[in-house]
Amino acid sequence: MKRFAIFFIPLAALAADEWKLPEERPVFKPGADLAQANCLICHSHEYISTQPPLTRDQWKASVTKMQQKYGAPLPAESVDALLDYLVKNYGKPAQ
Amino acid sequence: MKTPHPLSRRDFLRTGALLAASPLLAQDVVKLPFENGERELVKYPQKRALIRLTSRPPQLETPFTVFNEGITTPNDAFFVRYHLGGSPPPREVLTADAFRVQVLGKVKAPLKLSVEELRAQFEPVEVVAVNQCSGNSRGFFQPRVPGGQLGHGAMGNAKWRGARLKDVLEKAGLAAEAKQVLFNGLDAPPAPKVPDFVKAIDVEQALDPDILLAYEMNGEALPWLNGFPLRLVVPGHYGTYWVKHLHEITVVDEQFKGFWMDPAYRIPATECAAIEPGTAPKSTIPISRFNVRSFITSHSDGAQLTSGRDELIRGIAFDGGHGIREVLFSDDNARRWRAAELGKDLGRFSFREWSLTFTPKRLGILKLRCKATNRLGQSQPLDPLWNPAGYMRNVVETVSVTVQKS
Repeated sequence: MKRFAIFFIPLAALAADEWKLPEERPVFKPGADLAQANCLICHSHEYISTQPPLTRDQWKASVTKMQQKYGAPLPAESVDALLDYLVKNYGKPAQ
Repeated sequence: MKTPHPLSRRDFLRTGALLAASPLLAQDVVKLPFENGERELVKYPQKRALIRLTSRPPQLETPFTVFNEGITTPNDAFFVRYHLGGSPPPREVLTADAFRVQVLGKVKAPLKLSVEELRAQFEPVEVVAVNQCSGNSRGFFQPRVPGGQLGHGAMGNAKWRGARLKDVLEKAGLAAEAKQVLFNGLDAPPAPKVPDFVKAIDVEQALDPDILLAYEMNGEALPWLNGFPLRLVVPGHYGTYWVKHLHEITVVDEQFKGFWMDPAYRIPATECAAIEPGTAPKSTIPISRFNVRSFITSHSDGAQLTSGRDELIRGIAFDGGHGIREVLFSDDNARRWRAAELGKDLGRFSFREWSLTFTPKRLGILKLRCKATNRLGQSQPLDPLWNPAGYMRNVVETVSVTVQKS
């Protein structure tokens, strides 16, 4: 039997119930309360966990950018504790 | 578009309570060749399993072997890059009934068009063009820099079809004082203070007939995660300008100062955008055109070749729209080079295929390299250039293979 090729431009190839993304699975290393409460408001954990080992200064620059440019609600008195967590788990010691 | 984030803070805290290292199956993981390069392979709507950089917003990288499958990149393998946590926009705002693109600001007659109206009222135009993320290959920077740690897979080549931006702007009629054109999509900031993703180009450039409002990609509607139903296509320019889910085109009479133009997406105002590694630039300019790049796609690190046996070496090359003039190949640590044969020319914005037959004679590890030159004579450096944002890597890449006795 002959097969017919059907040419059409789908308006949206997705069925109504397919407009769904895979579930997000936060996988922070333990002790991440501050990171969970502040960083995950805007983005998933890989924004942190896929970085190369960054120095404390580099993590501080990132945290400052999140506060000043993106309005992260991290209280000033919590910055050092968050940096401790980031450097310990996703960083490298100062040289 | 500003909409509140669908998940409340409490939801996040609840999700956080489920924290546990979820073991990944071995076949679901790839290792990009730099420190901390382990990534999951995950399937998204309309996509095959791609290398996931981040889950919210989704950022997916194309596995490099795809670039050896053909000169255009299939829609289901094309990379995905979003900036704002509220991305991609939901179906409700993207359907034919809901979606309109508006032309506003310093124009004589503002427009509001459905995609059907764009198709019907403006001449359809096609271009084969590479889209590449500014930070493609950032993971290879030394010293490493913060940012999306991508391998080479944040690029792709597709046939785009749409209306010329120029035709649409001329229908609206630019006011005499028009200076820049702003582009905004329906992806939403995740929190009130996060700057919306808006990009600007100068009016003179906006009238370039190569720039499209594209509604098709490789003969199909755009995939959801690549900007359905409409995106800007700026051939030869980095993906940051290719605004997805494009719903607002605003003509303004001043230099736009939005976050995503300044300080984001800036490069050092120096030759080749490069500065001394580890230093800060004195002044910066917005990133714009691609530099020249080329890759071997037929062989990857660790491939085994046999002495005396012909081997077809194949790859791709591209630049910012001048076209590739020559691709050279070396198997001896970049000492001697010979010319590859160029494949079919799909236009100056496309990947250009290249190939040659190579017969290895020496045994042991060989360093294979390719180096492209465009029609302006611009080429690729043998040593990597550096800038603090990790943009525009275009060093001559190396593939290490092993040659065995026949």
